[in-house]
Amino acid sequence: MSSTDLSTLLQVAWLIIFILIITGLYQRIQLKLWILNIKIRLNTIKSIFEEDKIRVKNMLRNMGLATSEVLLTRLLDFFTIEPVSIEPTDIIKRMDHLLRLTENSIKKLVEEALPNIGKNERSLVESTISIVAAIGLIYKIVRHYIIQGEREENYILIMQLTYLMPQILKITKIYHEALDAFMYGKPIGDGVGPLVAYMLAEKCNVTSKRVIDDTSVLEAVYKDRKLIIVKAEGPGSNVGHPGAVINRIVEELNGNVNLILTIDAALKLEGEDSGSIAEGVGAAIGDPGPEKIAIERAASKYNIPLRALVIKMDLREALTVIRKKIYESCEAAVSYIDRIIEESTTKGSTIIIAGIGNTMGIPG
Amino acid sequence: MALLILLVLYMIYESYIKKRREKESTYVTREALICLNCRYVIEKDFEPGDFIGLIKDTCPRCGGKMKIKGIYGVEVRI
Ligand SMILES: [Zn+2]
Repeated sequence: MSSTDLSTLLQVAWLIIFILIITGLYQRIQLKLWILNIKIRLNTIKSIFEEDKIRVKNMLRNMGLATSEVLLTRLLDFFTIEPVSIEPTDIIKRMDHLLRLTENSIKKLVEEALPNIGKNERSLVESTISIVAAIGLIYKIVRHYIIQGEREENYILIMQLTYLMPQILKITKIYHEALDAFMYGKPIGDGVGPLVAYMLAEKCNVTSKRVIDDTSVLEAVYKDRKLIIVKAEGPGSNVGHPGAVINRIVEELNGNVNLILTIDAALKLEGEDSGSIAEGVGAAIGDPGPEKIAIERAASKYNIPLRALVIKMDLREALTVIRKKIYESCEAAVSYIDRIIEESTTKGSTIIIAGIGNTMGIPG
Repeated sequence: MALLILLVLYMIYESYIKKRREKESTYVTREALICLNCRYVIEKDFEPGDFIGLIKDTCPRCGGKMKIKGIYGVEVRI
């Protein structure tokens, strides 16, 4: 090729690029590429959703429910409408009412479909279906935006979605992986609170046990102090109502409590070590509001110190089977509690210790 | 020109490293059983229906009852 040929070729190439830029056509090409990229990932989410639906159907069939279609369609699209927040008066009461109603409605639907199955197995079914519903919701929302963005050629919307897709896909895969733990009732990372509470109860002399509101309350004597251990009732998939129960116990004791200590899993920041333990002040609980505020109100009403202990992990570790490293951190957390108890209370004190989280696979 | 080739090679190398780092680890669920009699501990695979604190199996050393002490996921390398 001679040098004149080459320069003509280069000139044509520059001309094409110039035309693409001034007509905005390159943007169209970019848009099509992004849409293609999103659709490929959306298909992955769809296949995960379909696969998990089949897994749940098989699970229900094994439990004796041959036609699970009706139950699934009702539960997969179940929704809860948030309470009005523009007028915040008694919002906690309204929110608590709606949350409990959601919980009870789902429980009732599953109970009607599977009357011969034990309570623990039923709780696993409820959680499993809610995970599949979450995956379904992700799928439907992404599908909505890609259809809308493509129809209206909304460059900004498609661009945002493109860069959000890796994160959305990651969360979907975490839910997909979590399904295994929930189907078989294995303890999950979020269960560190109840696990620490269980380990502590094993170490001390438990004198009484009662169950209030799906939540176990164990009274025990430990290091010459009265311990009241609160955790969700296990070993089914259950988070209980620790806030309401702590509030009730504090009222029963007329505020004669020297320390409230909550233990929970916390999402770690990138770069932090999984299984590291941190302490602080406040109510360590990740509910939408009602349980947390109940603990804070009980503590502030009687001026009770409110301490928190968290075990750090990422979302994947929190929702899937508890890692050995985090399990070992729970053992370390029990010694940590010993230290907090000895440092901040005297002999004869009354201490409430609440293990917050899903107690699946952990009894008591 | 050489610089351009180097840049392209570096980008390919980096995406390869990134992919390798992001390769998802897989976990198997194991459980530790402790003998209530002689405190002997064995580790075995999780079976559906098991939960922490469940009394199951007999001790291979003394024949006593065993209790599930812990259930956890262990990373497997392929
Ligand atoms: Zn033994």
